[in-house]
Amino acid sequence: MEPHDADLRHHYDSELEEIRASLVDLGTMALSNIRHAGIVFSENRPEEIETVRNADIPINAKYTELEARVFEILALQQPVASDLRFLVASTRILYELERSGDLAVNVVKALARLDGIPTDASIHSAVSQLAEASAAMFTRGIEAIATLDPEIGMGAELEDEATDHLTASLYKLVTLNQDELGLETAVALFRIGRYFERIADHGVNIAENVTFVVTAQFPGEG
Amino acid sequence: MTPTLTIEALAGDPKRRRKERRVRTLFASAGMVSIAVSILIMVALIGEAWAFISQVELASLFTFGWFPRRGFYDIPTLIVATTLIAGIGMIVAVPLGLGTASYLAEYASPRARRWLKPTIELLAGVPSVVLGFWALTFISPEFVQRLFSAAPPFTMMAAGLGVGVLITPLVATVSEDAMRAVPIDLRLASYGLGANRSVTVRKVVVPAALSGIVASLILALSRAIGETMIVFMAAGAVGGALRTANPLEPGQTMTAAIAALATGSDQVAGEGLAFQSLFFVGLLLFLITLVLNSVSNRFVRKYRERY
Amino acid sequence: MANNIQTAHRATAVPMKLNEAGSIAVSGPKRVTGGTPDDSNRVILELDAVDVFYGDFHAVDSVTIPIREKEITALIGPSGCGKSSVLRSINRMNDLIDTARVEGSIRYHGVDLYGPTVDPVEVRRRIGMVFQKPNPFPKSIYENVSFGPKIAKYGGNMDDLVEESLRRAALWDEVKDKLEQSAYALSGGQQQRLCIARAIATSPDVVLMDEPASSLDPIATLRIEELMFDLKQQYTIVIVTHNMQQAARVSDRTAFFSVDVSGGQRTGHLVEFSKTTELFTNPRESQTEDYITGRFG
Repeated sequence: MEPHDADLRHHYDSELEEIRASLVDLGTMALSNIRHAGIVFSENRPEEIETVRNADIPINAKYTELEARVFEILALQQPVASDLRFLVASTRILYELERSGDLAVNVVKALARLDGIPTDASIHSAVSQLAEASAAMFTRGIEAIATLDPEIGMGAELEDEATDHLTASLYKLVTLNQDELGLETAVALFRIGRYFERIADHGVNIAENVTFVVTAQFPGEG
Repeated sequence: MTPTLTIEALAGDPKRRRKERRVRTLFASAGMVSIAVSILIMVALIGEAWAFISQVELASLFTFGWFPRRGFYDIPTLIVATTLIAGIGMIVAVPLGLGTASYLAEYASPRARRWLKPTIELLAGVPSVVLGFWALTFISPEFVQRLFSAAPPFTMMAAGLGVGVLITPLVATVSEDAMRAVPIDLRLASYGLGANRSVTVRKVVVPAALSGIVASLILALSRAIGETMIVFMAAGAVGGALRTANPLEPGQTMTAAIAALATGSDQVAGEGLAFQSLFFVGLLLFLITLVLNSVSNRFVRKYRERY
Repeated sequence: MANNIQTAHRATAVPMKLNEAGSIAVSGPKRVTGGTPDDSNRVILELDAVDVFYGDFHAVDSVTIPIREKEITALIGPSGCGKSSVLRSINRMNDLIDTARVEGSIRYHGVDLYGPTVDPVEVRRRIGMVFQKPNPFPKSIYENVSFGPKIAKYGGNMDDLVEESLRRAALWDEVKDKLEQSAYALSGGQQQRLCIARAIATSPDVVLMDEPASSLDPIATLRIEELMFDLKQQYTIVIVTHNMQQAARVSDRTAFFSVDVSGGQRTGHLVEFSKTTELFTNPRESQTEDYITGRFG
């Protein structure tokens, strides 16, 4: 093997590194909006709905820009092996991030349609617990990108069961109290539960894509 | 900040430009001188040859032999002898020279080649007077007379064989250069198609090197026709020669005739036109060489494989 | 905008139809890729612990590669890694270098090509070769193609053979009216296809290609690659290439060579031999990864 001192592709490497950093940035932006949306919903702050909606605009813009850059690199550098896996995974991760951002907006939209959520303590706590767990799972995805740790993706499915349980208990709670809540509110709460569950799923997918980048296999494959 | 470029900066050093012009003039005049000399030779040849041909009785150009001091200028005698000796020379030199060239270019190991090639080049540098002497003292008694017991010591055969030895290295080295200049890629292509060495040499290398090989043969033929010393020494018939096409008899070539006349080694006094006849033969020799060159040029242009 | 329209057109031009089972069958232009090679293809050439020496210089160390029938096997790696030496040892072109010596065995249809009774001339008639620089003979197009069959005393109809070979090399239509013209009148890409036609005219079953497109422009290169893909139906191809994308595009399997610089010698060795799709998406060795992603120092 030749001496390995000269890295031949400085420019290319830094471009890939920039993409990865931008994915983490975009993930952090989405994450804070997801958290914010959870608080806005569970604490019933309709006045902040607009803030959450506006925060999604730069997320979408950054998504579009990043996707274009990944396409450019694919076209110009003809990446192979881990570079190829990283770039292909990046387009998938970008999609997951963008969808998660949209779901945060959906959460506050659901609030906008109601006159306010019920102040019942048990429902309040179930929603905020789910929101936190979902955000935590999503954080794991971002963490995976930041550290390129394949282990996170391998355990993600299991970790995500917490969110699934919280979603199930929220549904049960809503079903039990559907008469007091009324149909509209009950449906809204179901939706919210679904949104947070999806966000956590996106977090799992992101982590699994990172596992693919590193090991060339998705967890549970092969 | 980069300094602004001025037109003067690009004009260059006037001293350098002057020097460039001087050198150019020098080389141009060298070229002019050689052209001028050639023209002078031509003029002298044509003038004297014309003087000869306008005064001589045309019938005396076609008689029984070449005895210029006695007024018998049988040109065919000289042409036959010239052709015969050059022909014998070529018969020796072509197979020997091309064989050597093929061996050196295609078969010889680098080590064998390293000492063989200089040896052959050394042979090319042997003065023709030495070869003439050798033809007379070795080829003639040891070879010609041994094979043909009736042969006299001075024969065109001995001279021809001597000329052959003289021009063999020329054929060998020039042909070898031409063969070696054939790109290795073509040989690889041939071997890659399952050709062995001899097929590769015959079907690929020689055709590709043909122009160089033909050039070497023409060069050798010109040299054979123009060779004087060996013929002068080994072919006999210094004073004059009867017209004959028998290689086992003495004969006189055009060059030998000129040399004999010019040096007076024929030691025969007589006819006043004898001296002018020398220019006529010279002009004839010049024309033959010219024709030979243009024929070969045309041949080469037509058949050469350009790579 | 014209581009978008074209793209859209191309996308819809792929005919689709429902077949009887109700699933959608998609047919379309043949893709020029290695695809997934079939492990059931017979091994036609076995390089078994092959070492190549030039005098004292140990150029290649113990290379073992099974080469399968009707596949394209690519040899890639940095300069001096011995990939060309390995290629040239397959049809014994290395014999032309006095100091070259091959150890180990190369079995072709089970026969050791370096056996004592094997004539390299016979080997080369069965294992053809195409070189880096197009090297047609300075003869006519026809004579170039007929050269190999002629020296092998081919008994059939030469005109037919020449036409067939030129057709297979996708050159016939371009040269059919000028077969008597010099091969040198052709463009570089055409010359290289002529050399391919010349190589297949001796009906080899293996064709070795030593960087066959490295002196050609991109379009001529693609044409050669397309041709290789067609030739694969009938021939086994081994290609040495500096162009990794080319190896990725055309080959079924790829052997990656590297070079060790130790003890003052530069000895090449095989790092990885995999299916091309695997090698370029998930190489087993980090050395391969470094090289194919362009991070080889």
